[in-house]
Amino acid sequence: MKDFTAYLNQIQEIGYVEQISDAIIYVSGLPEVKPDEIVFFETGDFGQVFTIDFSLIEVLVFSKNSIKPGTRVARTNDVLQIPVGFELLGRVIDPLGNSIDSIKPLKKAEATRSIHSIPLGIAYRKTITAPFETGVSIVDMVMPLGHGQRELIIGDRKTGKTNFLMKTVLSQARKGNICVYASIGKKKIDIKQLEEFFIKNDIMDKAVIVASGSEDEAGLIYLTPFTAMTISEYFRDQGKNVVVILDDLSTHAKFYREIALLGKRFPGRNSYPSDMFFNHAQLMERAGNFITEKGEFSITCFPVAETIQGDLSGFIETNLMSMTDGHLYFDIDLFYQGRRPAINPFLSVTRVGRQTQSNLKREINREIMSFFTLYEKMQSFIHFGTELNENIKATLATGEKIIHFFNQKYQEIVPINLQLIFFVMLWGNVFEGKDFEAIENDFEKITIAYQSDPKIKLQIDKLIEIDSFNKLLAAVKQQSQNILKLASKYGK
Amino acid sequence: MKNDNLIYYDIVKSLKTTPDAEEFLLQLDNLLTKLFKINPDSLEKNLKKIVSSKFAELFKESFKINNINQNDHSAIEKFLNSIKNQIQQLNILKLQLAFDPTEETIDTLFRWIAENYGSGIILDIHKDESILGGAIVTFNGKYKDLSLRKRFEDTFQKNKIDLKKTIAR
Repeated sequence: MKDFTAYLNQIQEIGYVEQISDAIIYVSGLPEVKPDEIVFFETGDFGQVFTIDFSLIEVLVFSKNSIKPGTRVARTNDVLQIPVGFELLGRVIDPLGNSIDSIKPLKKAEATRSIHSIPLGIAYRKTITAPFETGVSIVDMVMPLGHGQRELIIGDRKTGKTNFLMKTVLSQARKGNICVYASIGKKKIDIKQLEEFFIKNDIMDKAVIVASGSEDEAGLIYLTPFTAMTISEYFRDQGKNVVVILDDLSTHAKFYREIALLGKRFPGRNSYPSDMFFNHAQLMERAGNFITEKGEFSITCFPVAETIQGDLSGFIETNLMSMTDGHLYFDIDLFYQGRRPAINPFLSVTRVGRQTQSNLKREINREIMSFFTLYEKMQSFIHFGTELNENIKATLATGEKIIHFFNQKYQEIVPINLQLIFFVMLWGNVFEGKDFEAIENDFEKITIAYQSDPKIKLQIDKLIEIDSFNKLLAAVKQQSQNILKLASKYGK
Repeated sequence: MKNDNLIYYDIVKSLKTTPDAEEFLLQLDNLLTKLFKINPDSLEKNLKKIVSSKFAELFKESFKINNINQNDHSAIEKFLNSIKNQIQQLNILKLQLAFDPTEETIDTLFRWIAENYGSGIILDIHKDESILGGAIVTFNGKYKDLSLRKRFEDTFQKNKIDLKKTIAR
């Protein structure tokens, strides 16, 4: 960027700061200024044109430095651009593209991109066909997702949303996909923990964290998801599948509301401005499955929304539900019951994920869902205790096992093929007579064997090629003892 | 200026710079506060006491032209407020010069602007010796650096290599 005088001499237009109201600064002059244009203050700060009025221009500032009335302002004739490139991988940056981690300074970027780009049109989009693996059994088997899907992660605070997202990032980064994590208005300690998690799991070279802290200027927090999406678009155009996480858009909406109210925009529902829907929808539209010059590549987007006491009918929540391809609902009640992840399969939706599944996976999915419905019904008979008949008792016992099976440890990810085999083993009563601790132990051994012994991996992967559930059930029953024997060498 | 504002024309025309306008507004405010005091002095007396002789004459003439009864304080207040409003709406042309201009220079500049851009513009002149000569003009959000400093900078920038060679010799 040039300095203030250079812009003044180049554009030959000047403005003066008239009023200041927190993140919004009112400027007079600059007769030919354009919407979203970047303006430069003589103090060295800069801002983005927010609204153009008859007499004054509203400018959204990105720094906390105090700007006084009378300060001169120059136009730049340019919109906000952020640096993009492969050198961003492994870095924590602020929404303006400046490095905020403790490592060496950021190299000069390959290119710059405007943060407000027009989403690619229908001619550049393709049906979602590739399955997306999260490493979380209940999602991959019950609520499957596809590459390019926009899936809302919704739930009360502290219900394991971020933990699920971390597992997803871990799973995808290990597959070589790029992960962009937008941490919107979070505490600095949370951002640091996120960075440490990426470093600890050795996936930082596949990730970019775009972070704004809760103490940052509202303008900067507002930009965070747009910067993350711009970076995702860059990697998509470079021939990479990208996962972008916007954590969280409820906070983003609150900061946008603050800015809009300061800018004296008319308050709508819950005092949010009238373009609140547009603001998030334009962001969601930039994700999807695309046809690029380098082939078919996707941006899978996980916006996060926080509910209050499980209320799904809030303004921002319903807005986001209507612009995404489904949502995973993290139920606080299930969380208190000890379910991890606390995803409620009955209140969650996946609109495009099932079309990416193979016949076998679809059959298993149907089997689980119908069993869950039956199990839910049977739950109401529990209080009859000993008077229950054997059938109900068996259903409840299997249900407990299945629920237990879907519980995953903190940061534990399971490859999809293993998830299927484990489920079929449970369903086929391979572990009859064993308690769940012993079953878990066996699962752990098989997992280690799968990851370290190519022979076992091949055997399991071959089983998954079977195209019907009943055939797989028979095959697993036949081969399970052999698999367990081979796996017994591994683990504890 | 619009035709319906012609009644203030003489007053507005007499204000050439922002300090002039500020001084006039101060005197006008003082006059307004004196209007409704208990046992107020006559307007004549107030004009003599508070307002400079130059502006006092202009006020008297305006009252006469607009048939303002000097004993009707409400009418006077309304009239003075409308003048105040008019002055606050004047366009300001900001000039940065390398020297302090004389009254004569200001007159010439003011006349030239009025002839070329019409009335209703006052000058806000600042002295900045660092510009060496010429002027920096700011008007209605437009900025033009016509200073000697800028000329030098451009010339140095343009002939950077040649100049370096000449100095090295």
